Amino acid sequence: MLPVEFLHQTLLIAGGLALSIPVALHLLTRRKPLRMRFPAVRFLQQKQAQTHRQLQIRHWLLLMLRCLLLGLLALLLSRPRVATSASGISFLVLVVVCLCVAAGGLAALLLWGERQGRALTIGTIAMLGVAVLITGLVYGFGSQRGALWRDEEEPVAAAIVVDTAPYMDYLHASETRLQLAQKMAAELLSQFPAGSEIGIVDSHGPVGLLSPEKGSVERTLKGLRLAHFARPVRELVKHGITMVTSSQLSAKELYLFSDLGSLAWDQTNPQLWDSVREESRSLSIQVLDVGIQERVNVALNPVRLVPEVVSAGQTVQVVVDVEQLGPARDVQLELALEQPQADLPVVIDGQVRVPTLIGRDLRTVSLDANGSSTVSFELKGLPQGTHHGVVRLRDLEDGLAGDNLRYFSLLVRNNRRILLVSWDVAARDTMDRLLLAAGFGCDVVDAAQLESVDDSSYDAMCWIDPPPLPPAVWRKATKFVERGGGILIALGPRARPPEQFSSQAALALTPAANVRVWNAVDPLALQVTDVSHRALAWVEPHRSVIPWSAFPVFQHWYVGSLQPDSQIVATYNQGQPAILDRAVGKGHVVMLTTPLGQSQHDRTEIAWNRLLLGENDDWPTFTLVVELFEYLTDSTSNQSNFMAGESVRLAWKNAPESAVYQLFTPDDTWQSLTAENDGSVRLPFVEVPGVYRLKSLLPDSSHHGFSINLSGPATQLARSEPEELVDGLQLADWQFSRAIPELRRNVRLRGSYEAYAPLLVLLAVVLACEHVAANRFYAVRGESLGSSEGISL
Amino acid sequence: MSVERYLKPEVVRQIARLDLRAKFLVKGFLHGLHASPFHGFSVEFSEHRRYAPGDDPHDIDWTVFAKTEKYYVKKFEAETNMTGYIAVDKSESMAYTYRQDFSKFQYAISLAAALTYLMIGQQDPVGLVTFDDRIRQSLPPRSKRTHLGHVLTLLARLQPAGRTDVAYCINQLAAMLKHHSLVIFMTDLLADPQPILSALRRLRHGGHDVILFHILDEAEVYFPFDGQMEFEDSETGERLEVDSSGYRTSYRDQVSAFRDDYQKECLQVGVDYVPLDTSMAFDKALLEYLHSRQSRF
Repeated sequence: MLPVEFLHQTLLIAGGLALSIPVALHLLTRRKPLRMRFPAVRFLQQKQAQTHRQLQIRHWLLLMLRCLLLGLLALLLSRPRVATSASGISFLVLVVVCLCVAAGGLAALLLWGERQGRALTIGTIAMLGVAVLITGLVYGFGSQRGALWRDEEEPVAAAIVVDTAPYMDYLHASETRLQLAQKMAAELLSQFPAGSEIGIVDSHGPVGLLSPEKGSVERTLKGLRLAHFARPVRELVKHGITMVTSSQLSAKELYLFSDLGSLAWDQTNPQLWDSVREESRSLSIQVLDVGIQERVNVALNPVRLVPEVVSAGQTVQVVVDVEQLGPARDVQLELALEQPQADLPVVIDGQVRVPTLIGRDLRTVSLDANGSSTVSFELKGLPQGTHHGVVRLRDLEDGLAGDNLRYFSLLVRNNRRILLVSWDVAARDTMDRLLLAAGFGCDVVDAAQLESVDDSSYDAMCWIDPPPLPPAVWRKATKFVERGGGILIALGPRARPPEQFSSQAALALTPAANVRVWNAVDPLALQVTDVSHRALAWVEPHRSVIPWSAFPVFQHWYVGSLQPDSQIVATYNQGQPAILDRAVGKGHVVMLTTPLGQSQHDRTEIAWNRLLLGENDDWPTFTLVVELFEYLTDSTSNQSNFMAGESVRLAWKNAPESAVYQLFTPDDTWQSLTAENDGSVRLPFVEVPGVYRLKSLLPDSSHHGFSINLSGPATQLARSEPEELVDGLQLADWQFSRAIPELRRNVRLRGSYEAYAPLLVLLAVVLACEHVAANRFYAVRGESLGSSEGISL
Repeated sequence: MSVERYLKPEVVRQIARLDLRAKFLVKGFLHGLHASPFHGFSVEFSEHRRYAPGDDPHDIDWTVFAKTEKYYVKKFEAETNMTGYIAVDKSESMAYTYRQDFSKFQYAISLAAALTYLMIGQQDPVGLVTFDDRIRQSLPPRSKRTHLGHVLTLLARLQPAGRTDVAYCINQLAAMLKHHSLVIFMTDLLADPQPILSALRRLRHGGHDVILFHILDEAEVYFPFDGQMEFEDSETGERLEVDSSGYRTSYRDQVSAFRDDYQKECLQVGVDYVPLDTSMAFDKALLEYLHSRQSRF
């Protein structure tokens, strides 16, 4: 096999076919010679007999020279790459010399006439000179480039980067993209020269180190599995470059197998590439596209629960987006929910038995071509506990199965109960109505009963305008919070004297001590400073429309330095703290430095503010208070739906410390899990999609669990073009292949020399030969007589 | 074409100059033409004229100088009984001209006119014959000055046409001649040489004096063409496609050999062969010929 390959073989074939054009023209439309009447023809006749044959030969010689010109042009356009082995370079030099001598010889033969032998000699010598010059250029250029000029049998350090993102599971022609990539990579592996060091990188990251053992690399390659949590391709390439550049071998290569899915052009971390940009220029990179252009797939995006945590009896919306890639079609979408059974999951005879899924709703969704639709299911009447379910496409076979099923877990809890203690009667009534309206169970007790009341059944307390309290009350409240309860304290005019109010016992609970009353010259307005706080996240979307100035604050408590684990959540517009939050144990204390729902008819006290007066346009303060209680009653984690690769933390109120759980995973295995000291359960990295169930080994304890889903981008089938990827990666030297033969060719010619420059010089030489010969052959000029008048055509 | 064209003032002046050189002409040209063995040829003194630079000092009449102390040269009037025939080839090939300026035929006519003027000026009867493949027109020899007009008028009316058969025409002319005559041929000789040479031998054998002006176009001599050309024979219509550049050397060799052969053969049979081409001024060519002839006698 010739050590030369052509980037554009079709151009070479087209050029070969084009060679027939001059031949056809020569045969069909031979140029007519100039005709002239001339009496002395008799003097030409004798020589004519002997030169007629020579003339015909010269016609064909000129034709051959022109064919050579065309062939060379086609050769040039087809961009031949010559293997940089000794045989390849020798072949190139041989071809160049032969073509030069052929062109020179043809031209000399054409000029054969008056100076015959001399012309032939000069022409051939000149062509040999040109050939030597071109050969020198080839060798000189090669020796300067160094890295490109290596032998194809030289060992290389190569990183095989295989994109194993979930979209690589796309099935086409009974083969997933990953299987195709593995097949192509195995083919590639067999072609590495002996002594090469090869490493594998998949979507998890590097799989081992560079290894000279092809066998072990092959086993690693075969063992590659889909990564449910896939890193962006750019990151993988970076790992590959880092791996390769660590090798001592001078020849470095990187092969990227990907179907160029959405993760391929992820640009979320632009700095990522900076550290290896220079290194990337020193190695040869091959991008191997294992994707297909026309894809047909219906995809479910991860499920959204609205709200994520519901109280018993409350309705929840299960919302899912369905996306169609391909022609319009109807699909059936089913919502199924597990039937809770107290004894499940359980292991019987080594087999895990889990509750069965019961279909709850079935919808037919009409999807436009490449369109999408949002479907909302409704669930209600669910009892307390953790419920697992799926939304799935029924009776559907498409390219990618991984996005036809989405898991969700729903936490249903009992109604939250609030213990309301208000020293301001008006505020007590307002708050009572508000909490009831917000769905909280609310019990109002007198201040005197505070010390004796059983608080274990309450989720939170609400203290409005408390006076200095006995230390026993503060200690009881502190314990309540440490167990996971929440307290909202709205300071008012009764918190006097401040030094008595902020006693040692009080400061164990409150975020800060009240120091003095701040009388504002101008009315103050609330200003939320920390929208990342869970209780105030609702403000962000409405920041510009909330009329905080309509709820002026005239007086508030000026507070001292913050206690440990405390933070300022909101301030007044002059900068003083308005709402403070302190984490105590498993619970939180939120303190307002001005009262809520203060009676406006109290003549003994100047009104501190106009917050929560029960008026119709009071929605901002109403929402504020409700969200604060949502926060305080929900101080434990309530997230039960995660994406693959995320770290999971589950916590429950009153969870026993260091409890032992059984964790049942989606692949029907189980393991023991010990809770943290705070009673929460942590799993640092969970990848496999499905339902994970936690079963407490304590008697009479409820079951917990969570769901893991593939992220949206991991199943996104939208493709990028190779050029986009390369531009994004800013790769200097790269090639692109789609199929195994193409890959084989590119691999065989890795580090090959593109014979563009010498062929261009050669083309110029042949063009000059043709020009001189043709002009000489068809010249029309008077030698000494000048005028060409009288010549008849 | 006007008659005057062939007797332009500069030509007449040249010829007149020849006329003034009577001695030279008689002893050289005409003497040579007639050749010494022939009789009835005399030269008579005509008049004196003032010596002019360029005249031969031998012609100065020292007797007159002794009387007048002025230089006079003697002017002679030729007196002849030699009949001349000028035979002009009017075949198609004679019409060829590369420069589109002065064809071989026109060159021949000019030459014929000059010679006619000269010979009539010497009282020699001059006849005119035109031919292509046979003799077409002829004027009987006359020595009157009015005859010059007739000759020139006939020449001016001629159009070259037809194919050539020089040998046949020579034979035909030989049959027409009753006395020993001076026959001057003006032709391009583009025909087989052997029959022509045979005919010339026959003519010479008849006792006639022969001058052969071989007129070719300059392109026919130098072959200035380049590149691929197709040449068509003017008379036969035969076509030949050649690479002119490659043929030039060979062509020139052929032409040169052709002329040399004629030169050699003519010398053997006593024919004056004068090779000319249209790039040579015909009067100069004539003078050169006369000079060369003078050197031989």
